[in-house]
Amino acid sequence: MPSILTRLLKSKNYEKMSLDQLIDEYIALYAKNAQSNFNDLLSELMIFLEKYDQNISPETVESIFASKIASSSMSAVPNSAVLIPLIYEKSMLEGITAPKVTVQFGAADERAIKALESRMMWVGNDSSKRTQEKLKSIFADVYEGKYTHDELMQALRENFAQYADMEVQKLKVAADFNLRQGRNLGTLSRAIEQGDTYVQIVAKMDGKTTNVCRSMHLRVIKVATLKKQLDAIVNATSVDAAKEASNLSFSKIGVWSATPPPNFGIPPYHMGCRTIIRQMSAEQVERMSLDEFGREYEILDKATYDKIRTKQDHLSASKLKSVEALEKETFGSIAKEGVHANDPTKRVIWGSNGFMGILDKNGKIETIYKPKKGLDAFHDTTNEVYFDKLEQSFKAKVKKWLGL
Amino acid sequence: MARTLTIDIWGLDWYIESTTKGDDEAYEFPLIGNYSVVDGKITHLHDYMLSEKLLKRCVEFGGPFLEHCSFVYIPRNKDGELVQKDGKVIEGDFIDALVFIYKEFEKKAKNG
Repeated sequence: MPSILTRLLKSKNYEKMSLDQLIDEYIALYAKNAQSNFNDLLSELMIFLEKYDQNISPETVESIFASKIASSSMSAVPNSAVLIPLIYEKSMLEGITAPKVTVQFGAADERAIKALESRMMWVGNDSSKRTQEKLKSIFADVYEGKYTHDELMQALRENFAQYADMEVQKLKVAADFNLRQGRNLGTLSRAIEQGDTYVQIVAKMDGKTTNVCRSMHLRVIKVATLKKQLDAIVNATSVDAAKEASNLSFSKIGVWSATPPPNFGIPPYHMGCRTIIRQMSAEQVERMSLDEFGREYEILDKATYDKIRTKQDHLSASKLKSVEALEKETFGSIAKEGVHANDPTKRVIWGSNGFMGILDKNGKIETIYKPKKGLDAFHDTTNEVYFDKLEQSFKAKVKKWLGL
Repeated sequence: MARTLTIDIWGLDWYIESTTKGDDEAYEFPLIGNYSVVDGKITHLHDYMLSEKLLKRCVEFGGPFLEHCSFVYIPRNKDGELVQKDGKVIEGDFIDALVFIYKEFEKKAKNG
């Protein structure tokens, strides 16, 4: 049987179609063949679009594709286990411009949402029943897909007309926090329900990313270690208890221990936080390389591997025999970490071995080399150093001396 | 006779290389990822990305950066293999070579 793409190519003059039209057409054909595997279809479309227009990133296509399916009324579109996390992840990472999510939430999400709705947090000084009822109703509407996050502000403005703009803004931040926490709790609950052992934390990396999110980005955490915090958040019966359970105390310093502190790990980690939880299978985790703090890293591609293996400033500047050993030594003992001065999506890592590693936003290693002028080169490459092992250990010693 | 060196751009790392070995360790040089200088002549340069800040630093330093050389550039494809047929020679000083690398990165960024 010809693939959907072959049928599309034969039936339409695809070259004259806009990307939007092309995806519409593809989804229409897809709906007729809903039994097919979603991943295969999406991959097929990606490969085609790569040839069709090289300026379109796979992320853009994935996002448009997901949003179109999400807002579609086609009954043939399956509510698949693949599709829902995809839409979740895209909408959470891309922030308030995310598409409406009209797919049905699973039981795990509903429980988390219900628990969140049972108490309101950070809604200014007004904790009257009427305010809470209004907010609950708006939250419910967002979860049911009546509003996008963008439209949430407008809804809050209309429902709380008596408040000053500043107050509405505060409400929006509080509402956004609750919604994001609810969705992350939903993902974690689903992971627990499905017997997953690990989850991964994924931050949106750019110039606005905070230290805590950088320290948690791509960290693989055992589900069991988050269970205590999950229970504490879901069972909180007061605003104070909910605040304490949410634990925002690491937002400036970040978390620099191999195992996250007790009662910490579930995003959001601060107001306006865009970090999410991603489900992980044990098989995926087995294949991963993790740095000193349990964050995933991987060499970008074979060409990068060859570069580090053959060029004189990289592997040969060490006494090690393999690229893998150099990676392990550099990322296994991190002395400093900062934001790249020319590109805030990149992390610059200074290993205790005197090598500098640069990772892209997805944790892919773009280079590892030994700069001739050592730490001066590291400081010249970064515009903000957010982790310094020496400084942290000194502070810890001072605290100990002072008996704090 | 002008020396011949090679320019290599691999991912976001770039290199200006020669076959001359050795290094005058004590030679004062501007802050750059890696470098070697022998008898006051640059024999090796390497860094990751090339910023305007670094370019200015080299221009201000002058000296060995002003030596006129031939720079042979052979681009690499996405798999890191050298594409001999697209090779070219840049005649000029080290600043010209750095500006060439800077522009190559600009082109790369534009083409994704």
